[in-house]
Amino acid sequence: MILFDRVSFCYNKNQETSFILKEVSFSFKKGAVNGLIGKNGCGKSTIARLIVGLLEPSDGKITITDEFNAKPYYFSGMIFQNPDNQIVGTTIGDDIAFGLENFNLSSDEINDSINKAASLFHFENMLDIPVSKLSGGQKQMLCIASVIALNPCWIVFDEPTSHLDPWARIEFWKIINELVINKTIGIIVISQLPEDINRFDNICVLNDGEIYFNDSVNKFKELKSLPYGIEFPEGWKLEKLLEDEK
Amino acid sequence: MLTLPNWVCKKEEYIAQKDSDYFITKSLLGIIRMLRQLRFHKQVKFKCSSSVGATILSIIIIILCACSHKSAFLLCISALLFILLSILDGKNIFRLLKHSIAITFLSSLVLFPAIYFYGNSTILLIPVKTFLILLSIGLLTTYYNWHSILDVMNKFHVPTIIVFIFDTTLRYIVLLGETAQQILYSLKIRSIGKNKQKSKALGGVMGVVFQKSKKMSEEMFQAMCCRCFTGSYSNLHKQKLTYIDFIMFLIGVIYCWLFFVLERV
Repeated sequence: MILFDRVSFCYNKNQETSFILKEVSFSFKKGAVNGLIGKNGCGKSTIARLIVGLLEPSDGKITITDEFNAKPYYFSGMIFQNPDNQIVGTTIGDDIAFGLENFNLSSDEINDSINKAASLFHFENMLDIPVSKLSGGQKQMLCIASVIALNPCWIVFDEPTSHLDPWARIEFWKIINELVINKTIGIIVISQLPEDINRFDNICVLNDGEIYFNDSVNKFKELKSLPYGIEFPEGWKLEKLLEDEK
Repeated sequence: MLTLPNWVCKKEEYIAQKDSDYFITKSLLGIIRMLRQLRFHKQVKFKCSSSVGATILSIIIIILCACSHKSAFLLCISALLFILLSILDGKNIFRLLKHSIAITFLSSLVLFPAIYFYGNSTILLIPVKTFLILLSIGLLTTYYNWHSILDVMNKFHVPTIIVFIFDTTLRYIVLLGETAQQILYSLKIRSIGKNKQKSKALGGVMGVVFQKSKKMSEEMFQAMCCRCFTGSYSNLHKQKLTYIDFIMFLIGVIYCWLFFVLERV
């Protein structure tokens, strides 16, 4: 579980008015796709960076626990929006190995983890292929494989489908659902696309640094209005129209 | 009903004056294309060898070529390089010769005053040396891709962080080159008529590229930190030496021997 307890954050500590997050409290649980939505600049990416430890909260406490893994050695990984900015290795194998090497694992353990992660994304016969030859979708998949190889408790995806074509998006959500069913890795997806909202089990809506809504998708559907800049998926709108006509 | 003002309906005969944009098309885009070729060129399939032997042979040839004072030795080197060149397909031969000859011609122009005033045989050898060195580098990058050449650095125990810096620098130069290329194309498309302030437009392009590079580097560092990067970097990829590598070592030794024999004459 990830627990935010009255967490505040500001980039410039000298300016008290520049708070990105204002005493937010919420939690994410494993075994479900946790969605985090909100308009531009509301603090979604800041929350992601707080979870993985790239930023420290100005005030409040963030607790990450794992009820399924007693002794986790790696709590949370993050997948950034642009795959080109996070691929480190020259080949697929090198990129997956990068994080594992930082753990000082033996070469057998590293090779074992590389093969496991690569087979999940059908990269097992492509380990020596240079990353420059991969398509945008394959690069995004490689980024996910590289983080999954580290066996984290949680993965935060920062707008993961924005660089993917529709078919790669379907493939991406298949993998996410598999991870959710296995309950091995907790999933948090930050997205602005209405079509991604369909895939969430729980939704946390951020508005101007505060939590506007944090509950299941079914309850989110029942909301009468949403903050400016956030919209329901088109399918839901149609569903509501039909229900109103009945 | 909407009535249009007269000035809208007036027939206009505007012919945009042609502006020379050779600087953008030839220089900037040319550099970007060259960088792309260095990283993304179609490499020739040469599976029976790792890049270790070829890289060492190239380094030996470059050093010997630079030190040589005898045309006989340079002829020996050119024989080897032309044999290696003849194995390639026509497209690659044309590309390599075009680049090598163009740069050799430029270097000859720079040397022209020296040749004119103090012309001796040693100065005349410099353009030939330039051509041979460029051809050998071109052949190496055609036969082997960039990452296999970087692996040779690992083999020689060059600190892995240096190899990593080399690789990421080249990758980001290419990525930023692509960004600059897109901005330049959009600039060309929107440019109509003569523009006397090209430097201002270029300043804008460079500004955007600089901002992008800053964002990319920050994001990459954060991504590395998320994968527990603590400052040290190691590479698992190891190349095995094959018999062709040993043949290349042998050719290198023969050329060293030839160098000492011919330089004494």
